[in-house]
Amino acid sequence: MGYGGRISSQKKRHVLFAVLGFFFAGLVPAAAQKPLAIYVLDFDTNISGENRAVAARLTTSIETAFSQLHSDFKVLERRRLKEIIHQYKMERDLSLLSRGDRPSPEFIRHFSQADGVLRGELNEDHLGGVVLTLSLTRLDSEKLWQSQKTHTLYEWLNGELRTKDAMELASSAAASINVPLKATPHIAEDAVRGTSLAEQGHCQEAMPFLQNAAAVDSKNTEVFYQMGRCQNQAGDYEAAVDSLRSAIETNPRRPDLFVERAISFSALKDFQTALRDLDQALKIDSGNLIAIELRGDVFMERRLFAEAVNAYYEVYRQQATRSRCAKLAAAYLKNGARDASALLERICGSLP
Amino acid sequence: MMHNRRGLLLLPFLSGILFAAEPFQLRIPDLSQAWFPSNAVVRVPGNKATRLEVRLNKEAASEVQMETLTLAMDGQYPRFIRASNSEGYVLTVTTKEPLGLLVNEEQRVEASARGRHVYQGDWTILRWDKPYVQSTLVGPLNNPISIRIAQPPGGIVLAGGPSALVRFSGEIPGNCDYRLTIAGQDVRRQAGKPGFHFDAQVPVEPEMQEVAVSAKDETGAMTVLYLRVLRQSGQ
Repeated sequence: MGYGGRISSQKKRHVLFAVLGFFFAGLVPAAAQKPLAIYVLDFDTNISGENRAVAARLTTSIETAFSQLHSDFKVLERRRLKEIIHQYKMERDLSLLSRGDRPSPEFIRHFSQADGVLRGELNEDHLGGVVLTLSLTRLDSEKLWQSQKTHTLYEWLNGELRTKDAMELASSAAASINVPLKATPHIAEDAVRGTSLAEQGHCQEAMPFLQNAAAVDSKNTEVFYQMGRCQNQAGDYEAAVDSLRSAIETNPRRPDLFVERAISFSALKDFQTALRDLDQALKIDSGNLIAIELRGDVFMERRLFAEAVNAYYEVYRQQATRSRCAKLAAAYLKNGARDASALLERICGSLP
Repeated sequence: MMHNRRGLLLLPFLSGILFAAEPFQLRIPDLSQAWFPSNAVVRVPGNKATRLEVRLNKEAASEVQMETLTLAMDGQYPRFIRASNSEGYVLTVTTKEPLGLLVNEEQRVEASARGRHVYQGDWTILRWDKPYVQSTLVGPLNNPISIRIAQPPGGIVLAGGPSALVRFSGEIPGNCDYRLTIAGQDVRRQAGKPGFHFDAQVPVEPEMQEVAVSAKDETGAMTVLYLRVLRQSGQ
């Protein structure tokens, strides 16, 4: 029997949590003194049409934000529960559980590494707002934390705002679950301090901490990512490529890593490889506007103006800013569409 | 006998057919494909306009001799060509001047024709800093309707794909009793917001070069924006 019977998917999920809770109630160790291991499930949404993709982007932003709080959370994977059940062929186990029977040892092994799940729902309300409800639940169904945020759909489409909100929500969740910090080793402190400084734009100060942390923890994606960013900012593109390669090796599912490395390759005039990285970023997150815009920049460098117009057109259409307007106008002009260029130039200055 | 039909046509109860019934209409093809009814105040971007067309509809054209059609711009009589077609008479003014025809901040265009009746049409053309054309007709209360466009940014419509949904949002300051259509589709005011705010996704078909955003009220006042559609091709 497949996982897709007669009850609604939401009910199914509740049933599953309840059964998992019942089953694991005695097995899950207390999360104190160690990060909370969580699954981030793809967010549900009632948004229809092409804007529906905002839920996936928001999931990525939230996942990234929670991943960055290493001492509080360990993000296991972001999947639809249905997919996990399907992939590991657990339909039978689910059925057994539903009947109150014992599932297979594989099933127990698979879920026993998790302490809880992070779920989100992004729903349009009747007032034109879009409400994100984010909740962190233990596998025994105990709600650890819940928060809501409301924006307009177009604010949710804004990548920067999304990232900022995600960071705030992750911090709020971390504070709320009150996971006691482990006796933090010196190196872990370096990682936290280095990434924090880098995120605030203090790259010069951040680099020594990041390098210390990277030297002993070759699996810390965020440390290598921030190193790469800082090296890009300093114009040390070859070193940035190396750092970002390490970051990608530890987590090949983060589009921002590929985008950052594309910046390095582009600066090194290796446009082909830059485009390959951008394609990869877009394969992971097809709506990544930064990747699309950067493709436009690379096309401009390669004098492929029609392709540049297409890229800039797309990002401008999704999120109009002054700089994107100016880039699109320049690409139009280079591509021979003077009127279009002049038309846009007329309004670029009025955009934020 | 002097017979100015505009006076009759401005009666409120006929406001719904005002545009269609105006015997004279004006078009500036370099700036918009729309025909503007006489009496309209037309605001245009600063682009060069090399051609101006005035047409007299078929019904009125059947009552006048084509030779009586005249056109004046700011009291001057530019060189024009008269022609007739299935829709009536058309007067065309063209120029090869580097600045085009609309050289002043404000210009007045007047057209007339004589026969059994005297027909007159006039338009005030103003330049503005927006990239689209706006045509405004006031009602008997002399109340122009203004439309503020928030989306698409700057009023330029980018429509990717064969039949793209484009977001149009903005506000019509004043009361709530307007009829708003965008690309021919009725758009309602947003519930829960004061005044007339609108926010709608409207399909923009591949053949559309501009999108008309039209607002009118019960007194016959009407304002139409003709927003340019910019394609990836630059057309």
